[in-house]
Amino acid sequence: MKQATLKLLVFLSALTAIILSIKGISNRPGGISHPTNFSKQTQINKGTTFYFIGSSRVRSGVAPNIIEPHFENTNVVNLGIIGGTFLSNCIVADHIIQQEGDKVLFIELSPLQDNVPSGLSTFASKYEINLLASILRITSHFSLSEKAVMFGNIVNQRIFSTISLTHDIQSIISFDEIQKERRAGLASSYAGIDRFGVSSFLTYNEIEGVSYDTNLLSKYHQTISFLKNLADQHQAQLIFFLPITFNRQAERDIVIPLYNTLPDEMKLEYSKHFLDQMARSKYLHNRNHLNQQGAEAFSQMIVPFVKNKTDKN
Amino acid sequence: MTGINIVLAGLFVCLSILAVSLVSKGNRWKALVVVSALFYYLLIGPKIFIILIMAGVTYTFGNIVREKKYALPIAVGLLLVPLILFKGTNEGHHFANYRIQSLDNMDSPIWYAVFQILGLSYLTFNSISYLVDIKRNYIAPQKNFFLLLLYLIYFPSVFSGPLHRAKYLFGQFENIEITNNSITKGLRLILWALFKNTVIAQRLFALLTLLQKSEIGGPYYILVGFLFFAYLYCNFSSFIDFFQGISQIFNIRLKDNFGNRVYLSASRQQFWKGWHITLNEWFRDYFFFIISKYDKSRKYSYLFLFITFLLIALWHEISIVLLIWGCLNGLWVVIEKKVSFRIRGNSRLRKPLGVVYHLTIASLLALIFISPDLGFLYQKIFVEAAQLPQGFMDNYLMKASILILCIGIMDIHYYLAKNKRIDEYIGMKPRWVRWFIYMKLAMLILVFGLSGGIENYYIQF
Repeated sequence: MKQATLKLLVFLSALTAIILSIKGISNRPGGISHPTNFSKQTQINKGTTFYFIGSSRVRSGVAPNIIEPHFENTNVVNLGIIGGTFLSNCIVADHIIQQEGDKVLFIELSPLQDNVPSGLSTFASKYEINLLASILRITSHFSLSEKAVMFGNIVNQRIFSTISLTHDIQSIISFDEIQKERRAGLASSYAGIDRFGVSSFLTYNEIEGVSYDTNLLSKYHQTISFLKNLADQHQAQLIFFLPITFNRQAERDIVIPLYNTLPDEMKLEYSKHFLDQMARSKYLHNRNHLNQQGAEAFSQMIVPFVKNKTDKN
Repeated sequence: MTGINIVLAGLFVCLSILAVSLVSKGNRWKALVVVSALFYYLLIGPKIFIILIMAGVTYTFGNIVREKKYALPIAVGLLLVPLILFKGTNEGHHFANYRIQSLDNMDSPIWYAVFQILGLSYLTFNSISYLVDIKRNYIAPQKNFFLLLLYLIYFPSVFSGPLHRAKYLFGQFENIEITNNSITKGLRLILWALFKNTVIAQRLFALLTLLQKSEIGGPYYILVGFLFFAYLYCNFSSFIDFFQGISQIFNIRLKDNFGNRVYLSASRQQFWKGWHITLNEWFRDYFFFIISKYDKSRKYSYLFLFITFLLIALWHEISIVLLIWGCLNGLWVVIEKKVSFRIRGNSRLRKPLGVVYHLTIASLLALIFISPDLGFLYQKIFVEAAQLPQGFMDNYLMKASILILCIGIMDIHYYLAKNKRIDEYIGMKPRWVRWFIYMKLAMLILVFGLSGGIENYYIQF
């Protein structure tokens, strides 16, 4: 047994040396592959702040500089995190709610997954959030085994993203640049061609058309209820909204029924006209994300709904 | 998708090694009972009581099955109830469910969710084989309930097999030993499994999902079936390799469930000899042979074979699509048995042509397997325009190249291993070659691996 352990240690040492050498050559910032977009966070100096919290769809689809001019004395911050999930959105919301100042949190509805995106670590270290404590607080109604699995998954994910060499090798061989050039070439060759269709867009009819056993949403409701209580204590307003694009049907099947079970004052209600206007292939960067043109259109057209919600309250 | 967290699995294995090492040789199997029960409890929670009740039924009937005429059918009936409830009340389509699980892994509060137990099929099949083997006088009833319990809930095989006859494992449970050799062999298998699963299988699934969402249609759609066929092999066989490796650390050799290079079978008959071997052997030994006993003239052998394939299909999922899939599988094997296919001409071409023949039809069947309804499949293949996704070469070339490279590496190793298990094949190489293989696999995982979890499609069955 000793001999096998020794061999394993030699193997792991050699592997570590290789990993460190490659990471040294690649010069990538350690472990941060998906930074969040909180550049505007530092510029907050006005009365009320609107925070848009969500996944990469929020990150690429919400343009604060377009929304802001429509509101007086208001600051708009995009807190979209690549790979954001329901849990990561709630962790961000938990932190933001407890900050000083008037604020409205617009939270994208996503499926609950037992892991968190790597971008959340960046967010957590920047704002000195104790991720562990935050997750424990938000998931207090989860069972012990669910918590154990969740923490196991988070640790596993962190270890894997730390030792993974995929992005380092891409960086060394300048694969990112090659891909960018290829995408640029591809985009020009497809100019005017309907590449993605509109099937990934949310439609008005399906908002009320998806059936699901609402008992299965109890974990979401408990977490939302926790955030709502916290928001009430800190004079913050919570408004949940549906993404307007989806990658997978399974995601629609979870978040649309969840949206339907929320009280009206806690959700952003899109009109049929808005969804019809947004459902255009030319607005897509890929099936699940808006391009710049799409983000501009979305940010412009969402203003009346945001006004409707924030004026009422 | 359903994945096993490698960090948690690693911690659990370390805990198990510690538990087994701390006790005397005669008590090691007891440590494994405790560890296995804990493992199962962590997986299914209080539902473990259903497992204990089933183990109790198996133990009790095991002691009377020889003497009492109706004990065996009663026991088999009782043991099948949870499985039938599980299969009969399972909702949705397995392929769609597999994707949803990655999004939402909440427990269902509905009553029949009580029987939605991970590893229930494994436990039921092993219980039945144990009782039938006693009835056939192949083994004596196990006097010690806990040793029987270990056979039924042994943690490396509880997820999705491989299935074992009780006789095969009881002897090994009494000789548990953690040695340099057992650890080395186990770790080799685990490394190999991680390469196959995190690199090949997960990349195949990503490509498959991408293609399914694209505008691919017409005969090109068969490519999706081919990718699923390859994915299922790499995914399931790597999961078995992983747990074979864990079991090997305790010096317990689990049975092989897949033949090396089974994906290059030249006929359906050859394929079934190397695919999910232990499940097929179970259906052969405990269903086909039993009903064949009543057919002395061997007049209905093909019909029974056909029914066996139907049962295997319905075990996966009780649905019309799977029924059709089972019928086609059964028919294919029966036709091959009845009509002796011979590709004339150059004998060098015989094998490659056979592989193409098998892969083409197997890919079509794989498409049926993952289609929620046949209308959708008909639409995709026969109505939609025959086209590859736009920008196919630009978008898919790099992904496909990585896959081809990694599948090539896997296949070369299997080719060189011939019929040996991969840990034994590596063990026969000179030391520097062994270390080169270890480093190569580790680097492939670190560079091309998609996640830190090992996934298994078959867990849901």
